[in-house]
Amino acid sequence: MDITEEARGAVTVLRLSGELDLFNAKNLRQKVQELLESGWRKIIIDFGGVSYMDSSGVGALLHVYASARAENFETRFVNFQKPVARVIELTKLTDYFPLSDSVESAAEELE
Amino acid sequence: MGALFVLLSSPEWARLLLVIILGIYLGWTHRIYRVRSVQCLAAALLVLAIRQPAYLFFPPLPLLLATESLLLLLYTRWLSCFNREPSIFYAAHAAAAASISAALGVWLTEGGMQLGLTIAGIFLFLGQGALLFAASLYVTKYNSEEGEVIALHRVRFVSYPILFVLALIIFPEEGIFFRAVVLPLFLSYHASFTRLYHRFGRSRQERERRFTRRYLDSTFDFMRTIGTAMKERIEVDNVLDYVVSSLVDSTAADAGVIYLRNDGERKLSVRSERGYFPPPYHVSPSVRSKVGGVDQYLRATPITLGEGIFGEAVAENLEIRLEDASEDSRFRELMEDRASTITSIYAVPIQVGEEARGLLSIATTTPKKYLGRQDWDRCKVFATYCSLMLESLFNYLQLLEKQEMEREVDIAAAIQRGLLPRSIPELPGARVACFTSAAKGVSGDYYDLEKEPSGRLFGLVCDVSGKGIPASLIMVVVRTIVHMERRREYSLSRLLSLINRGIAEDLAVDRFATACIFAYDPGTRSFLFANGGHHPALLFRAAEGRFQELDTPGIPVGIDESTIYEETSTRLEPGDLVILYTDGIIEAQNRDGERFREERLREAILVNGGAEAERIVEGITEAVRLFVDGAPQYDDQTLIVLKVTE
Repeated sequence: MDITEEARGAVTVLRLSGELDLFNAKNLRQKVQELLESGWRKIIIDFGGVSYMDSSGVGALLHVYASARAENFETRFVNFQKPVARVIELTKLTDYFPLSDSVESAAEELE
Repeated sequence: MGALFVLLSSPEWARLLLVIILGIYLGWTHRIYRVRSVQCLAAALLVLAIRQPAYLFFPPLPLLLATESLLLLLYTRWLSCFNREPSIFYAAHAAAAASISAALGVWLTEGGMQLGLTIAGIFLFLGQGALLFAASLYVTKYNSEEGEVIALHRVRFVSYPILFVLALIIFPEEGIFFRAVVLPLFLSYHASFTRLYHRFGRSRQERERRFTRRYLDSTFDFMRTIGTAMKERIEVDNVLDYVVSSLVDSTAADAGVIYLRNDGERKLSVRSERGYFPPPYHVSPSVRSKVGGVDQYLRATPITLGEGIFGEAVAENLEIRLEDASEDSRFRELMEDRASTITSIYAVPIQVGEEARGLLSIATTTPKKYLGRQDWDRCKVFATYCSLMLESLFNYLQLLEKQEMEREVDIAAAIQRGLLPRSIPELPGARVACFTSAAKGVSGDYYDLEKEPSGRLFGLVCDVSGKGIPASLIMVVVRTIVHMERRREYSLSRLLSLINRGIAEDLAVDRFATACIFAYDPGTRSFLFANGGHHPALLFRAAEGRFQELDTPGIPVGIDESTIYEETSTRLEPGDLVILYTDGIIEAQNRDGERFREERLREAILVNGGAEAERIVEGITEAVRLFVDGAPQYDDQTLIVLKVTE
């Protein structure tokens, strides 16, 4: 899995691509942790390039979202592709996660 | 006897003596150095030695021309040892061959032809001198320390052929003055040249010996430091600091730096720096204007793998060796931009295993202070040390981690063994079978099957995120809550809520589990099901021959304390199947990265659906086993099949 980051004003957009699974779920958590440490408080995670996600991936998302609540930063998840959306649906977390339709609308919400 | 007498009575004996002296000198120098650059000069001495007896058999002019041509060629070859410029190298060979052929012609022909060939030979000889001079221009003084001597004596290369030709024209070659004064003078010229080099060679030998000794000392120091680092578990950075400072101190460099990237990352960051390392990329004027701004910028700015000069060097495993950084357009551009003041720069990638993990670089920033060959050698050696050290250190840390993990696995596995049901309950009118397989000794899957006093079958399947002791603790929590609550009146949904609260209260934010609970009453054949984010229960309706999913809303347990869970029920008929499974079954991967998927699970159920519950479980696990075909198992697999028989 590759993670690229892009700054849009006060918002950081993390673009993920590849498979988010047991082997790299911790990379996402680390990346978010690094962003928090360097002072970012608004993070959008773009799943447009993620073709597969397993329960460790769900764990990583939960971790990100739980830290967002605990450490007082804002986050949005966007662009779930079918396989990922299915995993989220299966675990019934669709309504639980802060989802947005696109990076643009998420950025507007966070601004 | 007569010939020997003639030889001794003529002035030729002096030449013979010279040959002997040259021979001894030659043997001596040859024994000392077996280096190519010295061999060229030894060959020059050999030519001079052979020329003396050859005077007895050949006329002097062609012999002189031929041998001097050969000598100039040898000098050119010598210079090519320091910097080979192929066009000059080949031109020199061609000119020498032509000049020697002309000399042969002078010997074999007569009259006008002979005169013409003499003039041609002389011009070719002068041309050789010019080529020699040109070759010396390519030896820049930072190539090596010999380079400095060559640069200092460059004029000799061109002046000698001119003087030689002038002497040939002014003094007739058969005259006594030519033989007694001019020839010995030229001989002494060659001798002084060789001696100069010889003396230089000796001092170089001495220097190299000193260097080797110091080098051994520092190697020893280095190894000891690494040893200590391993023993006391000192941070990698301390060792890297030591590498950079030793390297900078033992070379002409003004500054040095080590870039490394973490496992799985594409950013190289400064891990250690000595002196003020000039950034190999553009730095904005506002940063440059601040005191220490550039240095802070360097330390704070990671380099992306494959981008910029260093990024490319690491990505493609390229060494950078620029004695004069301005020869490289990329650095020239930086200097024109006044972003950087790099005079010389060396950079060697650091590899751990097969993977480029970073880069060691040294540079000089003082104008006209160049790095040399020995600096390059040291830089290479230190980079190799770095690679070895990091490799051992990583292996060591991995081993430690593995040992700790193994210990944890043992404990966790022991806990889990105690948790799983000891026997499969037997029911009237139904059979239940199960299978579980942990991926790496310890499982994140947990299941429970128990016959309640009322005769009802209670079951639970749960997939805990993560592994090891924390995951086992969640299982303990789940099991404790289940067993305590079931003593009183309960509903499945309430039980799930209690489990949810139990985990969410105590444990870290990212600990969660998908869990589902079921209860089957053989008397009424009613099947109750409550789901917390797990896969739905898969039902196979035997009468209709179709699959049906049984599910309830609710997110995984342990995430949100306030989640409300629900339950649903259905009536099973004889022949119906209920299949519960965890991710590890449908996500089992084969070597092509393909996953088993629910479709294949359903196929396997259809194929074996008529058999007994145990046989169906075997059929499914066999299908998974055939599908993965020996590929390693990454996730725990758990499967429960309930079959209604009557």
